[in-house]
Amino acid sequence: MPRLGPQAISLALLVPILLLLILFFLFPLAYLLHLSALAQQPTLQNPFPRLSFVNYVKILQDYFYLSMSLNSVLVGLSTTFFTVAIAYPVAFYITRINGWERTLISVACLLPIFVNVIVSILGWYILLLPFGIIQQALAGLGIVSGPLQLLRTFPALVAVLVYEHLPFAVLILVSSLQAIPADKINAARVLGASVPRIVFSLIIPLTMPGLVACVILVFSLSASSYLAPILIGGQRTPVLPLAIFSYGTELQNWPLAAALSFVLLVLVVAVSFVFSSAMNHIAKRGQWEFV
Amino acid sequence: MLNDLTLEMQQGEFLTLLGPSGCGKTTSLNLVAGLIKPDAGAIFLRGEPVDALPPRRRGLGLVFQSWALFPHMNVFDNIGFGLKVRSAHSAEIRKRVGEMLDLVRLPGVAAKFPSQLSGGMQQRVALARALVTRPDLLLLDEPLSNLDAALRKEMQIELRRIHSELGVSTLLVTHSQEEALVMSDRIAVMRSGIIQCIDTPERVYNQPPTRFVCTFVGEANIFKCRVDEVTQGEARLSCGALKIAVEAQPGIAVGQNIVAAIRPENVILAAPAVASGGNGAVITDAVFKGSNISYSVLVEGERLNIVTPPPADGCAFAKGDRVMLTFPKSKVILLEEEQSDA
Repeated sequence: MPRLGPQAISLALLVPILLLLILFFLFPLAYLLHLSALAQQPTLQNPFPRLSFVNYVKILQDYFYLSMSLNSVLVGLSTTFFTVAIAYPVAFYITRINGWERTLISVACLLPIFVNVIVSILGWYILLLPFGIIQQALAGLGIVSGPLQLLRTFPALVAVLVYEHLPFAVLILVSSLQAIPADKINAARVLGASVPRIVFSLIIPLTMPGLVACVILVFSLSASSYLAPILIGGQRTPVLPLAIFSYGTELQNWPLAAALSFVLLVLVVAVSFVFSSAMNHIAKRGQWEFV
Repeated sequence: MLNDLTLEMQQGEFLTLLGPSGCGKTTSLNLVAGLIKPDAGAIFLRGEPVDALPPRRRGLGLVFQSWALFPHMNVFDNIGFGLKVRSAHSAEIRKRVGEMLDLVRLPGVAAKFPSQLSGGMQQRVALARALVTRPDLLLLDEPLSNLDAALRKEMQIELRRIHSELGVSTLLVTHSQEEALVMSDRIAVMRSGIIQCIDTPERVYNQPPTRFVCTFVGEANIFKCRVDEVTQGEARLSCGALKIAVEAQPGIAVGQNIVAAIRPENVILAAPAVASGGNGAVITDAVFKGSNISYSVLVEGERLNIVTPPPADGCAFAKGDRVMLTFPKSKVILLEEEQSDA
């Protein structure tokens, strides 16, 4: 057997993942793109309808779809904002403690991953229901009286999505915070830096790769989430995944569903790209390596 | 870790804490910097107690073993960091960072990032960053141990130069006796959280009080001896069959057990033909090391290491040669007998 060079070996190691990506990602994506450019749903009578941009034109001209797209982006952005705002301090705290306290907080953060998403969303459903637990508690305290609209609101949807994605954010941020050597923090302390100064000029820039990964993950997952919008938000907070589902299954208009999917994909990629390049610019990533 | 440690530094002094790893020297440094809190005891800087002050208010400079440069800032921002957090004017920052870059002889790297610099350059940047705030006390935590041997020697000289140029009090922590001897005004030798001896490099090397200090700061041949005879100015010891004479010291009595040591370079070797007296010995090994020759000799059942400069006539001794050894009286070190763990 001829000896393989190191390049050939690394190429050989890449083959399985490349095959997997081509077969289950690139190919379906290309098919979806093709589908989105069909003038109408293929049928037995007309298996190859003509190609056209009619679906995209329809989406871009319709105020309903545009506001839906905006809604999706807003849901994604708010979820990302609150998730990071909650996860960062928690992750920071976890890296500063040890022993049982660390175990307790870590387990509390990770447990939601092991609960089925539908189960946990229905748990929220019960909490948020009119005359549900939250309202009863608030009424009992005398803060509110009468029915409280929690379910089917934008804040409730964001809250549930935050809850769903918090564990991933904490996991990513903990590992990223832990990678900062204590020496660098101590050096800044001795040099006279206050705690806020250390956080803003040292810790946040040094955890930027983790922060970017976290934002991209949470944003793309929450903007494309279907279960929380259908169960919590409903039609009062219309987002793209709801429309995609209904065109794909109920209305049997696959070309329009595919076009909506592409709009969502482009939005997610665009927001992620803008955010990561802006953050890398601020943190001067690309100019330094971790030393 | 630390045990009843008292250490006082003079202004402008270069003091070194020397000891093996785990002896508590870095702990001591971190206590001074305020990065850890002592269980008991007090720390004074400029004559004032500082135990209640956080590190950022202690006005110190600290260089870490890892240098701890900020990777996302260029050299200018790294060095200027200490001034920036003090809200210094940008013109002032530019001027002082420039001065520091000149001081550590690193012109023209201000815009580079630490990862683009060599180890020695990063070390200089770390030093400049620690010095730019004009601290009264500079703390150095094994700053040279990440450098290769040649660079380490160069930086030792550099650190000495910078110390004498700025006159900043400096506390160095190191496990390298060479660094300590080259750079310090005084050396404190530590072991297991205790300072065993604190003195000038010459005295620590030539008159170490304990066996640990003696062998830690350099090579030494150690003998366990009995005092045979004490006359005026001289004491005669017998170490097994080997007899040596030492300068008399107070507290030496006949019959006492004592530990004597002599450094390899202080033993005088001579051919039997030219020697006048001394102990007869056989060379068991000779290693040529360029600037010196290292011999292993057997004398009266004791094995000794001896280092001599290569003889001018080029006739070094060879393995198996018979030689005469003399131990100059003033060069024999008498040590306290240490318990078990020596």
